[in-house]
Amino acid sequence: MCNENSLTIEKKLLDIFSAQGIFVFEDEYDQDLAIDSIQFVLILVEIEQVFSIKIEDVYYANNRLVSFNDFLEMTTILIEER
Amino acid sequence: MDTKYVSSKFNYFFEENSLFLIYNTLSQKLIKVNFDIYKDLKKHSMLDTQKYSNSLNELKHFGVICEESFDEDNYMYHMLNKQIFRNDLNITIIPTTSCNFRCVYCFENHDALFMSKETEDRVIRFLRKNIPKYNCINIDWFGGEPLLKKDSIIRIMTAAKNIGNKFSVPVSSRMTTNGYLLDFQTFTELQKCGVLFYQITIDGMREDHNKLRPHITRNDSFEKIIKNIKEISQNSQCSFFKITLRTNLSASNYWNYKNYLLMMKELLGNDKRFEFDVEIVCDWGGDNVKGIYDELLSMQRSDFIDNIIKIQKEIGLFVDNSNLKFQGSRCQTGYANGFTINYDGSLHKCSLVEFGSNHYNNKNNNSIGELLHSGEVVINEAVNSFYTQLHTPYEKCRNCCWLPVCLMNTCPYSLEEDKRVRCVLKYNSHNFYNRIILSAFNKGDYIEIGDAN
Repeated sequence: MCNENSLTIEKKLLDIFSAQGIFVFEDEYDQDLAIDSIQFVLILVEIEQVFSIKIEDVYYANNRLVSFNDFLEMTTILIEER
Repeated sequence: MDTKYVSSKFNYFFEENSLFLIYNTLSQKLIKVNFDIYKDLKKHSMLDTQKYSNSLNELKHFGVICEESFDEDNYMYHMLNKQIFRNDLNITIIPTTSCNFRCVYCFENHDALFMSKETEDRVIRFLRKNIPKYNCINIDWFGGEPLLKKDSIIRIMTAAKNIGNKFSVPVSSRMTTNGYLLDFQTFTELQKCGVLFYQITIDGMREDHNKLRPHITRNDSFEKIIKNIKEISQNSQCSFFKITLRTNLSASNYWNYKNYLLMMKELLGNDKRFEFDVEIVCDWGGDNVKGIYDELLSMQRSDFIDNIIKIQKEIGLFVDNSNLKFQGSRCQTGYANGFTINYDGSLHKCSLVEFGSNHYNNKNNNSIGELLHSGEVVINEAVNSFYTQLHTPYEKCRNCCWLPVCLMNTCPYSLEEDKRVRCVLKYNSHNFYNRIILSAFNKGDYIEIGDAN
């Protein structure tokens, strides 16, 4: 049973991003975040820890995580599958 | 008038069976393409924009093609300057010079010197005052064996991570450890405070390793490290740590390297979080190595690398890909905001020169400044400029597609002695880079552009 609603997930994700120096505004959710490789890894580590999920490479390989919405969608799916 | 596009001069082309890959050494992107794109880009002629209209934007975005008039050299130097002087802090911290191993080739003295609580507090004050000024913090842990001061590491890293979170500055950390004390609980504690990347050296099978890298008092060096690695692989829920397992090869363990890799394959399966790297044991300095001079490999490095690559490829383990990175041959010493904090709080540019390695000129003890009790750092920029200097490429290197990886970087100390820059391609061989590219591909670190054949 999942306790997180979509607003909570979004808020927690925004906090994770801002802690890593990435500030995302609502009208930029579909834009390329231009994250460097270290920030990318640190964000994914935090997402796994905060939401207690495991992110398989199928979700991030081949440049699949580009925008904030990509991260949001992936996190939502993985929480539902948890 | 339509814009004309050409293949980037920094594209490296790799093909095997029906796999066609292009690695752009400037954008550092590995691209899988179909045969048509591969063939046309390899020709380095003008690109038919109509034919590839669907892929054009992506090819351009990842740097595989550029406008005909675009000056890629200028862009490369722009990126180089940006990176050397970027507002990131790269520090190596040596919490102790003591070590629980006595590796036969080690150049260090293993003096039992440890970071005091006062120095630890000074480092934390330094981080508190300085983290907000930077875009990113990279902390490397080195020794001696850093995990002999595990508590200090955790305190410093916890402080760094909390300050980073508060001021929105990412903090990443790596550690060079012998792995003996890296049990699963320690690994988990370190992961929580941000240590995600490790280098551990295992010198082959049990007998070889225990002979070359013995524990100071016990005979379980190999068993303990393997147990730790197995537990981390099986129990860690984190998908994004990376442990590079390095092997230093000499005459005594070279011939058994394949058996070692087979054993590791059985132990780790296809765990992508572990990568393999090798180096040849040579005289890195100090007195210890004199006892094993007759065991140093005499073959050419490129021949050695080719043999190792064949074995790695046959077994199918992942290899370390740091050699593919932009300025991959530049260590933290070469960055304007890079320095080492020693156990006693003294500041140095290079973490190795301190130990008087034979390979380095130790004229000025590479002292770079002072870490004051208040936590402020005073850097001698005149000394710093020696390390950040750029070298103009030799004429023959100007059109080499590996230039962004090499960028005429070499250790400033060895450059001072040799008066020449080492060619990364000759040093490592084509097969070396092919192997890394294939490993990155197998790991899924690539982008596919265009329809499959």
